[in-house]
Amino acid sequence: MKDKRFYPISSENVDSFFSLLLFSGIALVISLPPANQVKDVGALAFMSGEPVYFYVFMFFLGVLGLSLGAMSAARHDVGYRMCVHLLAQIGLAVALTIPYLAFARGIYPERLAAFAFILLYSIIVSFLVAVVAHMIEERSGGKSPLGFLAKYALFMVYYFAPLVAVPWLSPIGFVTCLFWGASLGTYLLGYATPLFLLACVLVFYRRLLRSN
Amino acid sequence: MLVLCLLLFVTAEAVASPQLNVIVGFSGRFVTDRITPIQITVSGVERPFRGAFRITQDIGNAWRGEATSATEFPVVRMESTTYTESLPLYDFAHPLVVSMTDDAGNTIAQETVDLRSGWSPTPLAVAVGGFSASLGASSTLVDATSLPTAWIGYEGVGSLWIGRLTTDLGQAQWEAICRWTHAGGATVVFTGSDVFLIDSPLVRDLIAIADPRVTADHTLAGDLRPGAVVIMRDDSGTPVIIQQRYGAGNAFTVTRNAYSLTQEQIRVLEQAVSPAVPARITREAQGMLNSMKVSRPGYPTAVALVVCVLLSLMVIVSRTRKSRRLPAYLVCASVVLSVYAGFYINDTKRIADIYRINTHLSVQGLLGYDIAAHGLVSIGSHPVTTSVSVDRTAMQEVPHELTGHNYDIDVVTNLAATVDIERGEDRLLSDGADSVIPVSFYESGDESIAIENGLEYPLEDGVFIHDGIAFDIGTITCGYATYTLSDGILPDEFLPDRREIASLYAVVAARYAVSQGTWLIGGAVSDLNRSAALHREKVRDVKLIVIAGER
Repeated sequence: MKDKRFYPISSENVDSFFSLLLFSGIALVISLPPANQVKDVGALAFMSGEPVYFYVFMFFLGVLGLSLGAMSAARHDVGYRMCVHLLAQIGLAVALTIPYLAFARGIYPERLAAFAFILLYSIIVSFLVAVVAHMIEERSGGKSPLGFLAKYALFMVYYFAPLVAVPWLSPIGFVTCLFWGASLGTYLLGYATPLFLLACVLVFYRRLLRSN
Repeated sequence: MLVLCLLLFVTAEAVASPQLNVIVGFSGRFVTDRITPIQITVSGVERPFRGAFRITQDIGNAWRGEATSATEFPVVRMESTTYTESLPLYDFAHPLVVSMTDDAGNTIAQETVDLRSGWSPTPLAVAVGGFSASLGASSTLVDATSLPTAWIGYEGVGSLWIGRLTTDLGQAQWEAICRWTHAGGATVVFTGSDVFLIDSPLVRDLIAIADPRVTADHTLAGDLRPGAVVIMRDDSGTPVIIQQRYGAGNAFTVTRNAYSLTQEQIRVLEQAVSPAVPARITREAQGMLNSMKVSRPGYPTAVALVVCVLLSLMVIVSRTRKSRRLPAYLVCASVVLSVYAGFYINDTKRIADIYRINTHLSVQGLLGYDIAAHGLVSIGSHPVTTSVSVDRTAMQEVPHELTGHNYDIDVVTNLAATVDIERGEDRLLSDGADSVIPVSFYESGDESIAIENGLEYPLEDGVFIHDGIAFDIGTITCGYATYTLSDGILPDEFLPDRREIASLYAVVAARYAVSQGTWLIGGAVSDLNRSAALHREKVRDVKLIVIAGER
């Protein structure tokens, strides 16, 4: 009989956690300038100073959110329980990357405040992605390839499409804003966007549950 | 009547608006890429005010690329008088715009100076005072009052000829000449019967005769200083032209006045005078900058951390499968690794966006001066506007190709030079100022010297050189101490342990007359990591102190 109890990490979702830690770790390593002396830095330092680690972290925390949302749907988590479970798993994933953040202080000095803001934002975005993935998987019964495609398509559009015109709408673009600094309005809009989307999704989800 | 008076007052105010008259270089002649004197005569200022001169200059053209240089000289009391300053000149094709501003930055008066007619491709032979017609023909004759009072202002001078002075040079001008000559200049002093017009301790230090006296035939005679070389004698064997090494430069003493030389003697003198070498250490600063170690976390540690994080996840998940304690174990492992990473990342392991080197060669002869070079390189991803503290002014090394780079520079005299720097770019600035080095020494015995180091830091790689023999005395501590002299070697063979000090020592050994007289040399290197709003800098200060003993 299948164990329906909630475990933050299990053999079903450990791959997603592993992916997050692996790719974030690789990003951390390649963010180091590949030179010992100033004269050797030159063109090799094309990534030096860019928040590559945070881009990769943001992306794979989103991918983790997709995966956690799908598993949450498979467990038939609903309402408050779903939210708590998803947040606990995302929080644990972020906690596992804290050693990287401690190390990243050496790569991105003078950015501790940005670290905190990016972490908070990444949790919100990952939770939004997880809830949307949960809804899509639940609607499609968890077995339709259309649902799988739809959630990844939405994810890619959300992450990359705004970069063309409104960068702060995209999680990647807003990480850049948080890292390098932006106006107060941009900060507020950047945080408000996923929170607003999350609120809309949760309200819609609640109505959906009632109608069912 | 009242209205009429008011109108007259307003008209008088308008007529008395401030005017500027600007002379660039030496009688309008100058060399580009050197620091050049500028004389600004202000008239029409009725009430003195606090203001500044702001001098802007465009560099380059549409094909080569363009940049702007701005130099600001704050003036505490702006009034109708003449101000002499020094500024870097980069280009003669564009006019120089000189603005007089008030404290709020409003332009009060402006003058545009066309530079095209005054440019010289080679350093100038500047003559001051009276000369025979044949001697002064090839020189740029300059009024004694317009000579710069800052030694760095003579950078564009190839040789300075001091003839019969009808107007006294000021003490500040003599000091500037002595400093410039010691730093690599070439000065020709005509003496003979005119020596009384210029006699002073500074001039006596500059001329090659230790105990000068004027003979009956109006020739300067006396004992030659050690190392002085007679270049030409007259038919009776009396020295006419004497050359002596003076620090890094050459001082030529003509034992006759400026009207007494024959055509043949003038020809020999002109051939003997080698042009001055600008006192710069920018190449050495660039070398030191390039060899600065990049401060960053190590690759092995980064890889080890990633492996540990992944292993801890896999091991804990596989060992405590479906346990309520699993998250707690994972968080504990994460905390342990975070603490390790936190301790590992200390101040020296943090990446700097800008690497900066401040190099100073401070020399104390009879007078002290400081030759500085500042280097910057950016490896950060964003453009940074940063400033370099300058002692007086700063000359930026501008490449021929300016396209795609921002070589704009804004200098506020005696304060800072502000430059914009982007990833992969570097900047080199040179500077020169007066200085007094609080280090003195005397020979306390046959094989020992006593040194009083009044600096706030010890001097590493100390070397004492006496009559061409160098003694390694190690670190010169702060305060008073005696040092034993043993195992003398040639000055060229001495190699300081610190690479940076060795680089500057090589300059001194090559350019200064260290094989003659007594010298005390020591250096200091210090590193500092500092943070600005959005960037971090690693700063290395390198100093070489050179004390020339009595000759």
